[in-house]
Amino acid sequence: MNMPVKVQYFKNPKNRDLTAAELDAFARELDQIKQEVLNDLGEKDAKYIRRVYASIRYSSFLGRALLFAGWFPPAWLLGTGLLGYAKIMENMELGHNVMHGQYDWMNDPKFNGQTYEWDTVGTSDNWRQTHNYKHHTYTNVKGMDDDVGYGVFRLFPEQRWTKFTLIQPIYIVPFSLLFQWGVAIQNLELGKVVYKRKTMDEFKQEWKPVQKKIAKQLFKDYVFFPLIAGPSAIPVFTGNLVANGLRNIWTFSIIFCGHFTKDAEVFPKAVLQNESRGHWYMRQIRGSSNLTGSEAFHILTGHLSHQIEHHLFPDIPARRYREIAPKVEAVCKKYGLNYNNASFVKQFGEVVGRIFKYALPFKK
Amino acid sequence: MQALQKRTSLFNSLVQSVIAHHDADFWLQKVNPLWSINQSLARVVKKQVVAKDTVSLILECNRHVARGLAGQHHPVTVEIAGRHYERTYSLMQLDADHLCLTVKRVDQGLVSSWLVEKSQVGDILRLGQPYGDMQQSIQTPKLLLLAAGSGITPMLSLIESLSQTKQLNKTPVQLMYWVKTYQDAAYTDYLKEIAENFPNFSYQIFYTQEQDQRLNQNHVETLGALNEITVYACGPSGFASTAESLFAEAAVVQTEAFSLSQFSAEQTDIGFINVTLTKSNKTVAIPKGQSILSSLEQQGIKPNHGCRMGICNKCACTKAQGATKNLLNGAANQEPTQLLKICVNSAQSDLVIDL
Repeated sequence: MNMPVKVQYFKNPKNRDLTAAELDAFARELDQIKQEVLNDLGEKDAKYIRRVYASIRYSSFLGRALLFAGWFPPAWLLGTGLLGYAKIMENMELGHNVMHGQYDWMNDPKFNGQTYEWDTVGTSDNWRQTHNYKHHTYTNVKGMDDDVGYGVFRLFPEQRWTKFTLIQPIYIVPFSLLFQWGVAIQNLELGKVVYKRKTMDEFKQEWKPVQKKIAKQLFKDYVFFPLIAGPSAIPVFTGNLVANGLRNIWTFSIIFCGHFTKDAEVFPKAVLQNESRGHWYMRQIRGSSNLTGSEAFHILTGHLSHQIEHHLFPDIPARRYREIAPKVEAVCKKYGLNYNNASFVKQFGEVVGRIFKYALPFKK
Repeated sequence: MQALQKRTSLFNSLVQSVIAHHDADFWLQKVNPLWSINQSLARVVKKQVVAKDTVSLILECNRHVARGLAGQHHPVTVEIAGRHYERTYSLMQLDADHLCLTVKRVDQGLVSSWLVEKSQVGDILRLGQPYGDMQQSIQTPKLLLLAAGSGITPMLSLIESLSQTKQLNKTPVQLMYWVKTYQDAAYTDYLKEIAENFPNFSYQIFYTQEQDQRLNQNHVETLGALNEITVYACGPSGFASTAESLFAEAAVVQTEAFSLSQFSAEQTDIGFINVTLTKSNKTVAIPKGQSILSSLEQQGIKPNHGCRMGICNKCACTKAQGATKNLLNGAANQEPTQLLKICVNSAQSDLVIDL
C-alpha cells in the first residue's frame, strides 16, 4: 500500500556539525551547569513552589466566588480571568513541572512527581508516558515523538502530505480551543484502532482511566459548581467554560512555539542508534525554541518560554531556567549551535507560517 | 455491603474531583496547622533540655496519629531547608493527645541536630505508622532493660506504661543504663521517682568516661538465672550485638540497634547487595555499581521505566531505606524514604524499594 519513500531530512545551516569528541566536551559543559543548580537547591525553591501553590488556591477560590455573582458583568469577567489564571498556573508552573520530578528532592508528598494529579481532562499517568518519556526522550524524532504534529498536522516538509492536510489552517482553530482534549486522548492512539493495529479490548482497557478523569473534570466544572451556585448557574457554567478555553489557547500557543518555529528541526529515527549524551543534548537544542519576555510572562508559561533549558534539564526546578539561560546560550555559541530565542509574536508567527505553508505539498 | 462501598467510593471520587486532599488540607491548615484530611501531624507544644545535647519535645497530635505500643518506634518526618527528612524515634505516650519525643544530638546528625538546636514550639512534624517488637506483656518472672545513650527512650516509655498498668507491682524490672558522662544521663529524676514508688524497680547508671565498664560478662553474672529473664536492649549496633551474645541463654532477648556509622559506609563498587521489593514481595541480589533498573531486568523483573537516561522520571519509585549512588554525577544518598530514579542509580548497600 505505502510505497517506501526515502524521506530527505533538512539540517538547519545555522548549526555546525560537531565531532564525537566535541559532543562529549559539550555534554560535560552542560552537565556542569546542571550540577551547579543541583548543588544549590533548597529553601528558596521550596518556598517558591509553595507560593505558586498558594497563589493558585487563592485565585481559584476568589475566581469561583466572583462567578457566583456572575450576573454582574465585571464580576463575571474578573472571576473568569482569575479562574483561567489559576488553571494556567496549575497546569504549567505547578502540574507540568512537578510531574517532571522537579521537586522530588523536597520529598513532600504534595509535590511528588509520581502521584501528582493535575486539573485537566488528561490523566497524569498518560502524560508521564506521552510527554515525560516519549516527547522528552525522542524530541522531534519523526515517528517517535507524537508531539510532532500530534498525528494531525503537517509542520515539517519531512512529514507526509495528504489532501486532508490542506484544511489544517481551519481545523487548527477548534484544536487549539479544545487542546486539553487532544492531550487527553493522545496516548490512546485512536489512529491505531482505526487501522486495526490495536484491538478494541486494548483500547477499552486504556479508555477506562481516561473516562474516569474526564467524568471528574466535567462534574466539577459543569455540574457541581453551577448547581451550588443556584440562580447563578449559567454565569458559573459559562465562566468555567471560558476559563478552560483560555487555558487551552494559552497552553496550545506556548507549546507550539516550543518546537515548531522556523529554525526547529526534525530528525530521522536513525539518530537514536547508540546516540551519545552530547548528541542527545544537541538534538534538544536544535529541536526547541525559546520566547523572550518579562518575569511574569515566563512564570505564566510555566517557564516553557525556556523550552531549550527545559529540554536539556527537564528535572530541575523550572524557575532556575531563567538563571542558567545565559550560560546555556554561551555554550551554544561556543559550539556553533543556534540558540533559538525570540519574542512570542515572532515565534508564533513562524508557527502559523508553517501551518499554512505545509498545508500545501511543499517538499522543503 | 459491596454496593454501599461502591457508593461511598463514587462519592469520595466526586468529592476528590471538587477538592483534592492536599487542597482541603491547605484551607484547613489556615485555621489550625494540625488539621488534615488524612495526614498524621503533631505540633511541638513544649521543648525542654533533659540532659547534655538532649531535648524532650512534647507533641500535640491530631486524630490520625497512630499511638503504637510502649517501646515501639515512630517514623518522624521534619522539614529542614525545604526538604523533608524521615527518622525513627521512640515516642512516649503522655496522655490521649500528647506524645513525648526525646532526642539526643548525634555528631553530623542532620535531623537530631535540628531537633535539638533549631526546633521551636509551634513546629509541625509528620508521623508514620509505629512499629517494633518490644512489648509490655512480660511472660518471665523478671525483666531486664539495657540501654546505651539515646537507647533509653523506648525504655522510658516501657517503664511508664508498666507503672501505669500496675505490672510494676508484680514483675521486678531492672534497668542498666550506659552513658558517657554525668551530664549525658537523661531523666535521672524520673528514674529515681519510679524507684522510690515501686520497690520492684531498680536501676544503675554507668558512666563510661568515668571509669565504669561497658556492658560485659561481669554484669551478666550479677543477675542470677538467665532463663527466667526477658532482656530488652537498645543502643548503638555494637552495644546491641554484645547484648545479644551475652544473653544468648536468656528466656527472651529483644534488641534494637541504631547505627551511628552510616556516613562511613564503604564506597566500593564491588560485590553484591540485596534488594527487597516490597510490592512484589521479593528479595534479589544485584551487583553494586550498576544501574538498579538493568540489574533487576537481568533477574527477570520488569520495573516500569522510560528513557533509561535519568530525564523522564517514569521509573522513579520510593526507596524506603539503603544507600544509593547516582551514576551520572556520583551523588550519594543514604536518606530513608526518598524517590529514586532506578535507571541512573546504583545500589551501595542493601535496599528496600517500593516496587
